[in-house]
Amino acid sequence: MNKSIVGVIMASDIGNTFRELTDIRSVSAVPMCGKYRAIDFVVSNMANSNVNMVGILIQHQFRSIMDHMGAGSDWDLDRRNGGLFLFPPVFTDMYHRGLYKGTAEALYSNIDFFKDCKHEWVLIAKGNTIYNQDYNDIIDFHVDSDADITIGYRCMDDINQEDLSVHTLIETDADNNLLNLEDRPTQPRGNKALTGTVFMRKSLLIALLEENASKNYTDFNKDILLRNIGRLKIKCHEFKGYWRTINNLSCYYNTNMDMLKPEIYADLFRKDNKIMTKVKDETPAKYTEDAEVKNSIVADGCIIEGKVENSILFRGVVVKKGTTIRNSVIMQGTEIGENCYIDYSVFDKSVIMGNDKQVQGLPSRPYVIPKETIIR
Amino acid sequence: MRKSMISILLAGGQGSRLGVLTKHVAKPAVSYGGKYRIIDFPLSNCINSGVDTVGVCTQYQPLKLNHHIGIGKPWDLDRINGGVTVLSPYLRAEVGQWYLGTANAVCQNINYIDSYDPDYVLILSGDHIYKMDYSKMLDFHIKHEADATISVINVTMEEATRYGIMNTQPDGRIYEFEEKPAHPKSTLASMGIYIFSWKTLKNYLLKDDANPTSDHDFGKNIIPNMLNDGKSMWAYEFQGYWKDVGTIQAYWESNMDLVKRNPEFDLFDPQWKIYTPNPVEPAHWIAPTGVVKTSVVAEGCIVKGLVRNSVIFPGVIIEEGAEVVDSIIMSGTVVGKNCRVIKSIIGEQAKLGDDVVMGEGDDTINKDKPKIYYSGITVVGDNACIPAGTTLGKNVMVDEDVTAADFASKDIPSGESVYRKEIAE
Repeated sequence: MNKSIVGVIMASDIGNTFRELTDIRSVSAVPMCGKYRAIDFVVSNMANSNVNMVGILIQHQFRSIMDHMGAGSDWDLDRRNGGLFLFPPVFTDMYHRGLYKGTAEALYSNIDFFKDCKHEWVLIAKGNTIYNQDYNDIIDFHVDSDADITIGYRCMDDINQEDLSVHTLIETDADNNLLNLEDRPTQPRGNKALTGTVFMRKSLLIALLEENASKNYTDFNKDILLRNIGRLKIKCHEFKGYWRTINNLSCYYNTNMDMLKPEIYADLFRKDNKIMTKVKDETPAKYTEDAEVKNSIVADGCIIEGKVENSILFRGVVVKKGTTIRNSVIMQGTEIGENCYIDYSVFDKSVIMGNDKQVQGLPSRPYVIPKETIIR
Repeated sequence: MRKSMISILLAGGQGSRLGVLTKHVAKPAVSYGGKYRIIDFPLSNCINSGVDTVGVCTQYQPLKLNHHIGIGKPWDLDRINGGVTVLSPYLRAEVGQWYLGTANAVCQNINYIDSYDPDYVLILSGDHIYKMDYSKMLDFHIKHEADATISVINVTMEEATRYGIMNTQPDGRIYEFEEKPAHPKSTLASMGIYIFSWKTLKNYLLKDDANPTSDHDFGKNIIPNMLNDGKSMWAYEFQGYWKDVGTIQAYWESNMDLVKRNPEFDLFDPQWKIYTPNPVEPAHWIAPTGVVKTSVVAEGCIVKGLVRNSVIFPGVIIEEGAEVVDSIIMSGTVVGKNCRVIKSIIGEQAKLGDDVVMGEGDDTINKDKPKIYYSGITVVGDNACIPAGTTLGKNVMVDEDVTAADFASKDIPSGESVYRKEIAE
């Protein structure tokens, strides 16, 4: 059956960007967990679930996604039949529509992709979500429950309740039917957050998108799901593993820090289904006699001569003698000089920091050093 | 499609002095340096030098090697024209035979070489750790209008007795070649890296092939024959790190060289990257109880114990209370709780139960294979399971795939070996 499923990844960033890290890149391209980009998780999930034709809808700073995905070979998606398709926005159409106003409009703008392929089913996922799921769970559930549309959700009982308002929350009945849906609620009801995973027949999606567009509706959740409650059989499937969506800085920081919890690290990375990413050909990390590393994630290509605690070091990070890094996320290629002290910070890629510097952020507000900053 | 220079990489060697490490893999496929295999070095040198057509002659235990090379993608050698081609011995109409020697391996693949109609052929072996720009050697070859250029390295007078030695005139022209001379006249040792002008080499290969008494070897036959005929043969002196990791001791030392902050041979070199298939593993995790000092650790590892002066390959798990010192641990191996692993080499996917102690004791050399396991290093083969609480001394060899049932005792003194019992039918 999976051969007849076409995958779509929503990476057009509608309403998801946050200034600190996504001015320069798509939110689906934010570096995650030592060597990944956010989008690696859903692309790997698709590939691991034998969904071998995957389209990615991109818009904001889309070059970051195109650079990363290339021809898709690192996810085994460079295929004669199917494989990877990237859909940048059509800025020059005769109606001068400009940026997508909503997710349904983004899908509708690429409706030819769905119409032209022979696949029977569509699986939609969100590019800025971090989880390791075998989609056969939701596919089997959909078939068993004879639904028109199945949407994935997760009970967010492991986050601060005030953070619920960044999610799309749903309410269901005891039989997992969708009853109500609210995007970014100011008064959250329940804790069931949409994961962004949607499964349905392709013909139904095409019909719904065309109907939606004819009425000038643009949003998938509000206009396609919410308006069709009662009209269509919309079932909700619970995902029980670790799942996070990245749409603000604290969420970005906390999700990276979650890697230090062994059960979460195992849930994401030590299953049979592996998360894949663009390879970089770095040599294994080197620790010197002065290195003191505790409870940290360290990628290939790092050279560590200092002290690192509760931190995530991406590929090719250099930490010189006498320096202490605590509770921080240090992205690829950053070099930190001697006798520095860094706490609760996020260093974007390729920062160069001289000796004797201090950077102190707050647990609730990590200090961000932008990409390629040079601090002498 | 015509190519100016193509390479033939001789990767059929067994590497018998590496003992259990080469029981089921050819020497070029032996793991090295935390994520590589030995053959990655000549393959990466090729692509970094602009040589994009490489024939790899395999013979001994080629499965892992073939799987590793695949279609050559990690080295950018998956090409429409050229790229990597695995050349195994094959049957011909009348007769088929194994590769009888280094020259014979090339001779049997004359058709492959001719299909690229090259001016020059670069002959490499898959046995050494080094970084070298072959394009500079080719420039040297062309400048001297040579028939053959042999890459040499300056060794000590004592080492010279173990190598093929080139005796040269001051300008570098070779006038004599001596294999393992008792009294060396020079210290320029052949590195087994040759550039030949293809037309000349082809003639010599065909002549050698017709000679039933020949060993069909470059060092013993082809090069002496060319010298006797007065061909233009030149020594190209290489300066830098070049190690034959053909013995357990040399293999261990060369890996240990890498853990220094600024080693002579540095893999942290963006100008000359070494490529290999990348394992699909997350960045490694050093646990709150973990300690890592003066070591190289690859991705996918979980370190809850202590690692010092060691090289740890991808996906290794080192449990709490365990100590790994002066050791090499290959991919996917698990070191149980409170183990002590001293000066040992542990193969891939091995499992050490809790409280295993190895590499301590007297210096008795291995009783069964004294010429292989003599330098105090204990070696464990791939997929071996060592039961909890076992103590192993120095120079111990644990065979591949052994299970708890293969251990007669929990105390294996220095110099002993543990073999896999053949399963009775």
